[in-house]
Amino acid sequence: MISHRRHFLKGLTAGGISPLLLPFLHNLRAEDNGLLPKRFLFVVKSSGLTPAELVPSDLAPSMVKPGEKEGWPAELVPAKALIDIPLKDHQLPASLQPLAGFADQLTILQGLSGKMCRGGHSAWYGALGCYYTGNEGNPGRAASATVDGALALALPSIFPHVGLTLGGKVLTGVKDSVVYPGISALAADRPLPYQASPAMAYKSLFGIAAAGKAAVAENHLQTMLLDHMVDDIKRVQRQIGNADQEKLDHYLSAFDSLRDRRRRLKGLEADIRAAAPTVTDKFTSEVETDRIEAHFDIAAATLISGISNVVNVRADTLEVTYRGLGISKHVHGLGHSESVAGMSPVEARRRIRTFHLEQVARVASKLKAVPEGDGNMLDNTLIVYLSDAAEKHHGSGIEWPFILLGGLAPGGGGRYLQYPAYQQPGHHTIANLYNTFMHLSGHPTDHFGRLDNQLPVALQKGPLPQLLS
Amino acid sequence: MLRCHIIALVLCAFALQLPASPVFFSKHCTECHDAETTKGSLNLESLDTDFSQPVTVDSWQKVLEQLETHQMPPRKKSRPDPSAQEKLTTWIRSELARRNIAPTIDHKRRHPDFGNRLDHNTLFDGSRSGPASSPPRLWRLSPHIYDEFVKNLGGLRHAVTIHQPFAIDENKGIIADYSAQHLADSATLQLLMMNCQSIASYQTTGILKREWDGRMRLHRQDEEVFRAIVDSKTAPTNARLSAAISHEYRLFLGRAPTASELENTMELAGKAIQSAGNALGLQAALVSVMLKPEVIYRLEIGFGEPDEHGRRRLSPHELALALAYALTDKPPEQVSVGSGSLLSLARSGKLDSPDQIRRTVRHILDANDMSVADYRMFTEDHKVRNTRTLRFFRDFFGYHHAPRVFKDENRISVNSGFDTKRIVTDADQFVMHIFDKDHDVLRQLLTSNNYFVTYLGSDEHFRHDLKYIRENVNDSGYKTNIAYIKRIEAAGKTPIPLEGPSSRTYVGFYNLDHETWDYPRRQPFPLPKSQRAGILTHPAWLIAWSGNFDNDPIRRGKWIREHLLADHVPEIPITVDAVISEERDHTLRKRLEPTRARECWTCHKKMNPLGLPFENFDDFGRFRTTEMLDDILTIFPDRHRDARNVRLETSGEITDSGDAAIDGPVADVFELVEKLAGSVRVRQSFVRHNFRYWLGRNETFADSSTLIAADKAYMDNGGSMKALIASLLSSDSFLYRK
Repeated sequence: MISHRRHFLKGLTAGGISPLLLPFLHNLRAEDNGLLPKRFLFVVKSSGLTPAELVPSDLAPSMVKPGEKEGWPAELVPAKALIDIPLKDHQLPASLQPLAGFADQLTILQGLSGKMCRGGHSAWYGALGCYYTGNEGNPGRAASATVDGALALALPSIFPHVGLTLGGKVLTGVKDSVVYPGISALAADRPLPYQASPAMAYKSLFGIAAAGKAAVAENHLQTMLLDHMVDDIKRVQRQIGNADQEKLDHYLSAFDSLRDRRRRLKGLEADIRAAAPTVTDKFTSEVETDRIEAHFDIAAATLISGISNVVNVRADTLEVTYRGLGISKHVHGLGHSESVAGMSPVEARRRIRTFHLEQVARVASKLKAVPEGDGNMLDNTLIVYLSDAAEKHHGSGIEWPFILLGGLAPGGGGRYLQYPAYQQPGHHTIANLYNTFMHLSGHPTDHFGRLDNQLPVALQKGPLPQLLS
Repeated sequence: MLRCHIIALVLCAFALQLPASPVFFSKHCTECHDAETTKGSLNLESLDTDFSQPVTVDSWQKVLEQLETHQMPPRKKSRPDPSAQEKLTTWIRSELARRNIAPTIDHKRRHPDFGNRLDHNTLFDGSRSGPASSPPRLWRLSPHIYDEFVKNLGGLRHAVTIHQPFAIDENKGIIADYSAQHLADSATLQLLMMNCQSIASYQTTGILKREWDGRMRLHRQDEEVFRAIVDSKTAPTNARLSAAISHEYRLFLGRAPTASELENTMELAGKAIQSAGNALGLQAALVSVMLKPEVIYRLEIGFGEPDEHGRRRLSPHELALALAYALTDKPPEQVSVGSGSLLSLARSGKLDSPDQIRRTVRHILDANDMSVADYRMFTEDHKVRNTRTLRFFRDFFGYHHAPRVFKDENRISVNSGFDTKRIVTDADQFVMHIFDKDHDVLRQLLTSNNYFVTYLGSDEHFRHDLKYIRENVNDSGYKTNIAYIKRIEAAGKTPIPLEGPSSRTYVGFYNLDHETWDYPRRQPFPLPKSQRAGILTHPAWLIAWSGNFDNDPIRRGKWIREHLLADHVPEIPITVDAVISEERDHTLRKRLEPTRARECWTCHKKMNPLGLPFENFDDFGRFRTTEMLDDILTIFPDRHRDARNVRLETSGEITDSGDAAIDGPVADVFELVEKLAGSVRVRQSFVRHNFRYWLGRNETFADSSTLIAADKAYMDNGGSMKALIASLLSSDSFLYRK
């Protein structure tokens, strides 16, 4: 795929360069300079990611303790000093088995805290932004960029940020629409939208690549229409003066960005077509697992085609019932350890996690199959799996587990890394992790979001050296 | 509380840096918050004025918020000199502006959560009588208006999926559709464009769709004005094109295009037709009309002449649109008033005076009189009439969230009849019936024991449904149903017109026995006064404000505090991991005792004493006289035969309500709601929430006269909510823009 893309782009450079191809050419030049494109895929589940379930199974007897009550999830034994264990000597836990083929690029990251965020069903923007916001049912204000938003700005592409989701806010159901789950923001007060319908996401991301005479004519018409609308809105702006300008500005910039995107995509249709996923019944299915699979297909294709470097898949919400996995209870009920037919709630949660990681593995395989530089696309990608509720259904943020996959973090591969527990020497926070991501993107930050006042400032600054060296 | 300490410390730190501030500092801060004392275990003396640091900005944002909302210094301390305070806030604002940072407080002020931060007494004491107005604004269409519009396009929805571009995420107990809250951005636009293309195709060439029988069928809105262009092999004449575009303007904007609009759209159509042919070219022009900002946003700019206060009145067209979308989901030309429409009325000058507007609003509300209507018309299944009013009640009380509160299957069993959707319909009927009667509305809402349970709207519907049950031999529960009907009728009673024993069991949530209850064919009917009083004792409200396993006195108390007493309860602090103990050998009241700790009680005293009287009910909304311990309650009495039951403690207290007449202890929920129903403060809080809903924004002090007038209209008309709405919609706040 990449050789095709490089060939294609080099052909164009010989025949005159359109300025609209700059992002691609930038990547190409970067490749020539030995600087390869960098990509991030975030996968954000709801209802917490249970730390004890991520410990290598042969180490579990010493590192995991039983849950507070019978039937409750087991708990991780807090570490007093950094635990850094190579995964190759150990057995991955059950739900991480789908990632076994990528163990050398896998990091199980535990022990970071996020107490600067809101606890409960969701930390909302805080989970990726490191700040307190919102309440039980409302994401509140995006106080600053979340890390996926910041990366979208740092790694510009035609679609700076692609959000795919099964539903809206954490406690609401599936919607076939554009929604704002309240977990991603480009900057203060600029929440990022997510597409809840795979079919619609396909159309907006890959629709430009449709082949045939009619499609070309339609694209031409669309461009004409967008030009007309930009002029029309400007006329209205003049008519109404200063009234509520922000809204018209947003509307105008929406047309502007669509127009701009079309210009930039022009000429790349064949390339995008080659990477576009095959549309199947799953794209319009009512079954949640089908839709999730479709979203992951779209995520992989989006990264491979190069139209975006930052994708976030909101893997589920609390109202989702994984019927496709034989689970008859919604995620919310499972989180409350309610009974579920044929299995324990812990087992049901394990099945869901396994399913998510199977999807992650599918994307990783696809990226790995595409050569890039001296390696492949996975080498230049980081897949980040987490929950916006931190460590449990009603998370407290005292520990916040992550699974990282891909070669982008040079020091990250093949390890189980557990930081000393909250307020222990050597402890770090999710802000350090996000600083690490920013560092990897080539736009290093020293601090991210807000500080946790209960922790020394110094330890909350800078990246995690263990992931960089 | 902690927050107050932070702010005080910040104030102190700031004071050190302004020449005039040490006085302010010593007067209001140092008593508790010097570096030595660091009350609240925080020392913010190190706070500087380097606004390039996010932590610094964060702190100053909080200072600004606390000062501008009068949260600090604490109430019991002396108030700062207003001019010194203003100097401070002006400085903070200018520092933020210098770095292009928006004050968080401005963002919050636009949010529904923030409505109650405005001092209640100042709003109603008549001290602020300045001319009221709203800011000129654009209000994105609601999803309901969009739905209604698409529905009116006839068969379109049978041919193609139309996606909702204007979703509003619902929060329980929040009036969500605020003009400042919703935007149309690039993601919305993509959906809109796809929808518009579908609509344009449906209007012109039609859409082919394979039907259930395998045959292809063309769905097309057969308009001659479009057909003449699409079916022609030659390019359309200007006259035809102009007619088509004008038609689309009237359909989507309710008006003809201006000369320049027509010219611009004609130009686009001409180019597009030349490029892609008649059909596609025409479609592009039609889409351009559908995407106009005026279609997506309700423009309330104020195109009328300015008055002596510099306010501009809404133009007749703007006013007609604003009234139509306040009262219905339809455009003004489709809202009938007498023999004309709201639009024609506005254009002919018949909505010029507030009196005329009030009469018209009453007319529209009365025309939707639900007391004679088929109540099923506004259930989920049967879609809705007069849904704007119903949505107010739903937003305000939040009872329609009952189906979203998960109750474990072990407690209710699969298909147990835990039919919360039906309970919500009952509640809809309850509130709308009171609205239609329009007498002493708030008192009725809070105290009436006249309930609806499975009411089908008319005797005709009752007969129809019962006949269906008798004849539906294919139903798996047919024999059981027939046996039930015979048994009940033999006892000289009326059967519940619901099919299936599990469906009928839901009446148990009203403490009715589904096996023996004599179904009242005329409803509402009285439930025992000792068991039900108003919407807050309705199972729908009680379940909506319950937890998964227990009652939720905290959130119920919070609801009353914020919705009926116009007060504010801060969010739970970051450092608190609030979990109610699972020790079920104690009553819930006892399990909540940790909240009486000093640091918790500051806020919890505002909630718990108001929520605990609801212990009169279990978390399914059933009235009870004892509380069961040691086990998780289910709906199966057999399982709890050996359960340990203790005497129910239902006492509570109204404290610091702002209405001294109602402050004091209450014995149970019935005394609580009775007191609330008689309170001036509660009535005014209801008026404030109405203002927010019907005007789509938080009130400000400038709206004081509007609120007072609305309250007066309600009282002068015997507790008429229709008069209250009419007053709001004819107020200066509604009519003027500045």
